Amino acid sequence: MQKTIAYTVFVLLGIVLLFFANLFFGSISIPAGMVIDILLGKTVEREAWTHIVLESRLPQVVTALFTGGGIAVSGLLLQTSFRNPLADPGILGITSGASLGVALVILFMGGITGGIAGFDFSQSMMVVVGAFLGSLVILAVIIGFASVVRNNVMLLIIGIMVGYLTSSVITLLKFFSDSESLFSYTMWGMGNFSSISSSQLPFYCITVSVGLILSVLLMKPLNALLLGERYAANLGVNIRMVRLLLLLCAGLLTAITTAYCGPVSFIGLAVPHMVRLVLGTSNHKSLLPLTMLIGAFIALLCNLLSVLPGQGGVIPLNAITPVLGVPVILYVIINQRKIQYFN
Amino acid sequence: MEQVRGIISSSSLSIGYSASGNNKGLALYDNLSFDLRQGELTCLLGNNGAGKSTLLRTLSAMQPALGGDVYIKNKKLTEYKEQELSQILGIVLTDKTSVGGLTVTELVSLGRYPYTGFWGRLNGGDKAIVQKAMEDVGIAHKAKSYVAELSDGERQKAMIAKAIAQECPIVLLDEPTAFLDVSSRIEIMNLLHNLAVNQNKAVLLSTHDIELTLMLADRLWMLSPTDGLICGITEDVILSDKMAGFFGQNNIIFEKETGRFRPLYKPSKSVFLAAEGVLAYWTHNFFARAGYRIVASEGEADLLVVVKSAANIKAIYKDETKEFSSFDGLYNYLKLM
Repeated sequence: MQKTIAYTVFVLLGIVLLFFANLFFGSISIPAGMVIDILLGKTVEREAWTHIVLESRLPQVVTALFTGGGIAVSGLLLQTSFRNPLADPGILGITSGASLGVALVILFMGGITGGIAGFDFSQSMMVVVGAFLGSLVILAVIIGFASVVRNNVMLLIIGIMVGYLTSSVITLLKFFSDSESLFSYTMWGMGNFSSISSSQLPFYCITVSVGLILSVLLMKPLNALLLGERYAANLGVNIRMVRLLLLLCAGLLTAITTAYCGPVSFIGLAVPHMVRLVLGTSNHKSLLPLTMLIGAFIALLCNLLSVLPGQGGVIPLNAITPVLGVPVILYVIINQRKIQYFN
Repeated sequence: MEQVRGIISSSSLSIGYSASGNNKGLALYDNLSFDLRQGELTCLLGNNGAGKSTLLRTLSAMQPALGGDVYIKNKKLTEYKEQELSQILGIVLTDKTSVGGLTVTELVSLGRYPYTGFWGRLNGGDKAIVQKAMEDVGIAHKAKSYVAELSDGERQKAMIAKAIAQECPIVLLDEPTAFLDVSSRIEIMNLLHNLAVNQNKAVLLSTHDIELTLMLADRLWMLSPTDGLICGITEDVILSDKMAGFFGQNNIIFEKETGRFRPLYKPSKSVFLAAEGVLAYWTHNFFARAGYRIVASEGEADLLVVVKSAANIKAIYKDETKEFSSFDGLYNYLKLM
């Protein structure tokens, strides 16, 4: 427990540090003194700087903060409920459902109205709606199967199959779409924290918070689920209900974050493992809060790295997350026999 | 004398798998009747596939009965809520778990799940119960170790401690001694017997470990497709010859004298043995395995063997006497005959 508290303090400090680093550094360099003035509400000589810091950087940092925490927790919930170290939001097909929704909006609708008014669908609210509906449809399918199929491994396989089906539809849509829409879709797929305006931010933060709070409420049954469903049921856990709530919670977090930020890869898979390795426990009372915090920390770090090239250049998010995530996953796979928390 | 009702009982229970979809369903047994009593260790014996696990699952409400009712404390099992049942019936399964990353204390604490509040916080009383449960099974010295670091036997003990911490009057265990070495098996069985007797629990376990069962079980439940469920005090079951047909095979017989099952040897030769005590037992064992019928008088025997000690063995065959200093020598001699 002391270890948990120590790490919590440490990570919180890191988050604060990265939070401000993200406000001070960006693709356009603004003197640090100016940034401080802007944050303190003073007027500065260049109006554009105020706009950049308050309307671009600040929402982006807050988005990264919530998205990182949300995706990481969603990954943890899925890993525990499927008792599979390689489960993550992508594997249940929820992310690919979102991708399908977005593909339908950008590629299909963009295709039929293409070029009329030069309207860029990738910038519209429709993308968010499409992604959200797409993930909810797949989530409904998975929950539907979950009430019929009692075996979690089977459910995992169904999720993967659903993912293949949606990607086949996406492939078809890609094949028939023009290069401009294709580019828009590809850009969405690279993931970014910059697409939420300050007016949409409250809605986003509240929705993610609802998912996070729900996950915290599930902490007790999550620990019982480590024993497997039959032991958990014997301890008085209403398995059907808890499984539904877990799927709903993970689904909501995945749907909302993917809708706004694109499919952000590896954070959901890697962060829970990092936390288990660091803390040396699979007790959710320590695991869940720190997964949330380290998820946010990693997202902020990735966001900072993405603007590091400086003047004008921004590296896509999904080019960075695997660099941090893959080593962790490889370590987990290679040491699966030695890693004690899944046996 | 008034009939004592067990804490779990049923008089006409059908178990098996119900029909669903394309699955036609499979009824394994009809009309099982039994009483599980507190303060006793009851062992459920049966071949693989006989339905031991199905019966245990039905008793623990993990699988619905096909017909009839299970009564727990004179109330139908189906009328219990999950929460209620979790304080009456604890289980130990062979299921794979993912608790390797928990400490033994954390694992045993999960047994307090039905009693703790929304956040699962343990109060002083809970902690004392967890500590006592770990001491009861002799795992307290590993309290701070990770479950992943335990041996199979210790892991099983930790799971039993979890069930004890659950404070249920009934504990059902599915093959708790499988995969364990001999000493762990004896330890676990003895532990469960003490648990039943000292804490007045009804302990039911399925096992293949017949020798230990006959030694420590107060009551036997024998499940076989031919005879259904036979229940009784261990000695009653043995002495009433009910064990004999247990495997439903002619080539395995039950030796009442030793409480062992052994393959039926088809003896072609006969031997008269002159030995006493332990020597008699093991000489008997030796010749039964070698395919000899042991006869009671010297006259009808082909071979006469006198064992004074393990190093002083005499064999008389057709008036020719040979002496051996070990069973090894005797063994080689028999091979040449």
